[in-house]
Amino acid sequence: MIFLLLLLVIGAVAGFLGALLGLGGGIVIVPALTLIPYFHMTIHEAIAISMTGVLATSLGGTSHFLSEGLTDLKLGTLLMLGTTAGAIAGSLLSHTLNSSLLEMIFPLVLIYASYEMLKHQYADNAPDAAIRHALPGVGLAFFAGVFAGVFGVGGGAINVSVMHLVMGAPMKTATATSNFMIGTTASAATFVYLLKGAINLTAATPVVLGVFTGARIGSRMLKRINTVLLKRIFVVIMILVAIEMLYHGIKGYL
Amino acid sequence: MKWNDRKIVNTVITAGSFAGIGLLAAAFVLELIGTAVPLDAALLKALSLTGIIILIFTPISAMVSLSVYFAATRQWKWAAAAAFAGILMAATFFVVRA
Repeated sequence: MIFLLLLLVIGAVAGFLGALLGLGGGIVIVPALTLIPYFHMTIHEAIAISMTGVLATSLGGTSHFLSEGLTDLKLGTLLMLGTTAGAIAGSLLSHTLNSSLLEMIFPLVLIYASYEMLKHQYADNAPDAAIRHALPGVGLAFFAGVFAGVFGVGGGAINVSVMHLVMGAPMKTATATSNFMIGTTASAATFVYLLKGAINLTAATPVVLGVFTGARIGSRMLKRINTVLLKRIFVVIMILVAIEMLYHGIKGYL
Repeated sequence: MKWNDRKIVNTVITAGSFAGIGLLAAAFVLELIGTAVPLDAALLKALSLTGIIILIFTPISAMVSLSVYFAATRQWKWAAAAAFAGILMAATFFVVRA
């Protein structure tokens, strides 16, 4: 019973942060399931459960964001063209690309985006404001998709940065729209894991329930939270993701 | 009641996610009870599996509804974009599988 309740709590924390920041929540689930010896899970089992959690984060947060008018569906649709095409290209290229080199380049992009996010104060215009720099935005989303296709992570962080820094979307609109977008990519990945029989249903059920509840609470917090604080939390998480990827990249190279 | 793109997508997502989560919650409660009283493992698996499958198809249903809404309101450019995004999503199912 403690096993199930612990998974529920881990899911709730991941869902809360995921919905608040427009990320999947895998950054919490995967390390928790693999590093806490109590769960005895391999990285592959953890990733499969995490992907189901990402789907629940998106669904839990999106319905509230939509009713609050924070999600920009047209912006999300436009970027989804780039990310999904990129994810397909990434999956096809994953055997030929030098993944260790990419894992070392991508963290530098994240660190640069973090710096830009802290340095500039972009006007938080209303949702549904005209989309700026659509073509470069879709192009960058394509590269985010390639990266997500190769590694299965990183899509949310790049989506938020592209929408906010390149396309001029307010930070809260960017996180809410990213929340909607990650659900569509996670659904495809979860489907594949399910067909392969890689999802441990006993463990995934409490994680998904926790994530969904956490995401609903996180989505309610987003409207109230100060944008500057939100940006700072986002930057800290991006730097943590960057460090983790850099570590993997260097380890793979050696 | 006036419908718009957000309301349509919200209705699909809310319906799908609550149906899926409802089944998963039932499986979870039975699993908790099952730690004290043995229950049919196949029933628990069927509940969890159906719940997750409903969750998987919810975002794609939302994209289809969005595309239909844009087409019905003659926003052709956005209808095509949403439909194309849906096709690409369906393609990822097969590409990643391969």
